[in-house]
Amino acid sequence: MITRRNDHTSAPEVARRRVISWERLFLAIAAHLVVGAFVVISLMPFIWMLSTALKEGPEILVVPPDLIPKRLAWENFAAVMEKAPFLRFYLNSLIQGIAATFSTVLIAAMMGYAFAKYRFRGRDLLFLMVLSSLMLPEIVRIIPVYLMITDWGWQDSYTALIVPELVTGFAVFLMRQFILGVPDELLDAARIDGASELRIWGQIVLPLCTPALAALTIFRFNHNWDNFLWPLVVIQRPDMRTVPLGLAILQGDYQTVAYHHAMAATLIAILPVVIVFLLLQRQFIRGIALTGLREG
Amino acid sequence: MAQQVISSAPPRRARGLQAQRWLWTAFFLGPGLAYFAIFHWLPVLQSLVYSTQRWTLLTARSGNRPFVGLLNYELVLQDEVFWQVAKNTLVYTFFTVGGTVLLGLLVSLALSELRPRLRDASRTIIFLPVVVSLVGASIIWKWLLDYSYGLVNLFLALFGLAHIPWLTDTAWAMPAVIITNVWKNLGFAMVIFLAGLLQIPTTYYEAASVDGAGPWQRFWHVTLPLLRPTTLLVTVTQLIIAFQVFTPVYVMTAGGPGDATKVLVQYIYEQGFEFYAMGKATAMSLLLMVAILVISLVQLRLFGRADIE
Repeated sequence: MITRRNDHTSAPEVARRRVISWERLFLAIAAHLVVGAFVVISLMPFIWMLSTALKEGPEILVVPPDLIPKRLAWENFAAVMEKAPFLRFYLNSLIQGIAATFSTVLIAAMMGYAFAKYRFRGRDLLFLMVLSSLMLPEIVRIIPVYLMITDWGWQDSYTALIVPELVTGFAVFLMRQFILGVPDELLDAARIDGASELRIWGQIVLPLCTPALAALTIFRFNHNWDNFLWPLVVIQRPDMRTVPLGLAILQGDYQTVAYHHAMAATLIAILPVVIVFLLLQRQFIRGIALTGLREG
Repeated sequence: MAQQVISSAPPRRARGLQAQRWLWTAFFLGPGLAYFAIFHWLPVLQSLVYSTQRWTLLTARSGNRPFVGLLNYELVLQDEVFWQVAKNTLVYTFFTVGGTVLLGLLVSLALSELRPRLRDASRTIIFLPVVVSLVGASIIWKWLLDYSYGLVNLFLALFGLAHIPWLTDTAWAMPAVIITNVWKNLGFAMVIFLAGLLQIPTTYYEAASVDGAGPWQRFWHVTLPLLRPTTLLVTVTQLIIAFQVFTPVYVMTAGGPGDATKVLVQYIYEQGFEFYAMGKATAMSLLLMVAILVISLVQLRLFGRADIE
């Protein structure tokens, strides 16, 4: 700022500035090259998937490969849908995803409120125990929970998919952090006006936590949509498969040959998520920057 | 008399209020705590019990499972496959987390030099693999890494390189799985690093420049120290996830060729759900839990307790 106003710059000063501008140019070029390379690396697999999904069987074995198929083989999608009922898988994934996401947000908001705003004996210990589930590997839970669920005769049901995923320690942690920021005076004023605790929670606390609730909804839904190990363990009936499970089993059946079908199936499986992400990408990325985590 | 009423009323009302407060606490916490008790805390205790019992396909349902002490743990520690699988998991974790963090940092540094509009658009694209399902990404990469017709080998052939047997060679299968996961995760590290980078005040850099610091020195003495908490957060969360890897290995190589890419969770899954050796499986899962606990405690140490409060 100061040097810019000074007209009488010394020779070394000019030289230094020239160095800086060369430096800037070099950095700018390097930055564009790096970003360009990673944009290509990030996109290429998707383009390759799309291209393969629209090729006829023999054309996927052509070397060098065509990027744009000679004829768009839309029938690949019909062939895949015939082999695996992806609409049913969508329905299963949606039911599971929506229910588990809704319950996570609801229960985490309730627990977060009590942990943040109530004083009671054992609170910190209980909160620490809830937090400890963050460090608990999924596989430790899976074996006993599987035995429990089968004892109760819940396998192959939506209940089995949803109930073990009702809420997460991270969700409770996030909601508590947010609710800690809500001023106590606001709650006390409402209490003096005779508002019930439920009303204070629903009409004062929750509206002030919208960013956390939005982030949690997006992460949790994405996480549930992606969930693989638990459905693999607990679902045997083909018509109860979720999208990732159906996709994995389908590609296992194909072995290595029919990649145009495997890519068509993959496209069907990931398209809704890609569309939702492109619509909500701002909230998604802001949510990660906000919480530093993606796990719901 | 009037005085008596006044003096006795507050305690009674206070007691009523206290009961009411207790009820509300129970209302807000009860359902959630019940869930954690049944589906998180109880399973840990059950695992402890199961890991000291002999389980076979026949006894699994009958409940006739004799106590065998620490035999399952002994069996695990004597099992060569367990050590192979543990080593695979460590190799996978080290290179996947290392690659994700380093490349995520590199890309975020490059992005921070770009104009905002171009930066946001590029960020969205590089983030795209993060949201795509892991099963889908694994299948796409299985095809990309195909020996004869995969894009990666065809690309390498342009430079005169021989085709690489990515998924069928014991030496190359693990790198293939690692590459897939670095590709999938680096956008996540990038977003967190970029958020951290954009928070560093530009005056710091200006001050460093005035003092004659070049770009490398500015990175080393300004950027990196200020990104330390971010780096730790990314590294530790990625470590915990990587230790539990299952899906990409299951889909891409099924643990093969041989046991070259078999990972711990996959081995536990096989032992538990294919052979019904639940005793051995729970013993291994508890060992994994201890490993993750140690990492998390190291994290707490490094971050200081202030971060969870």
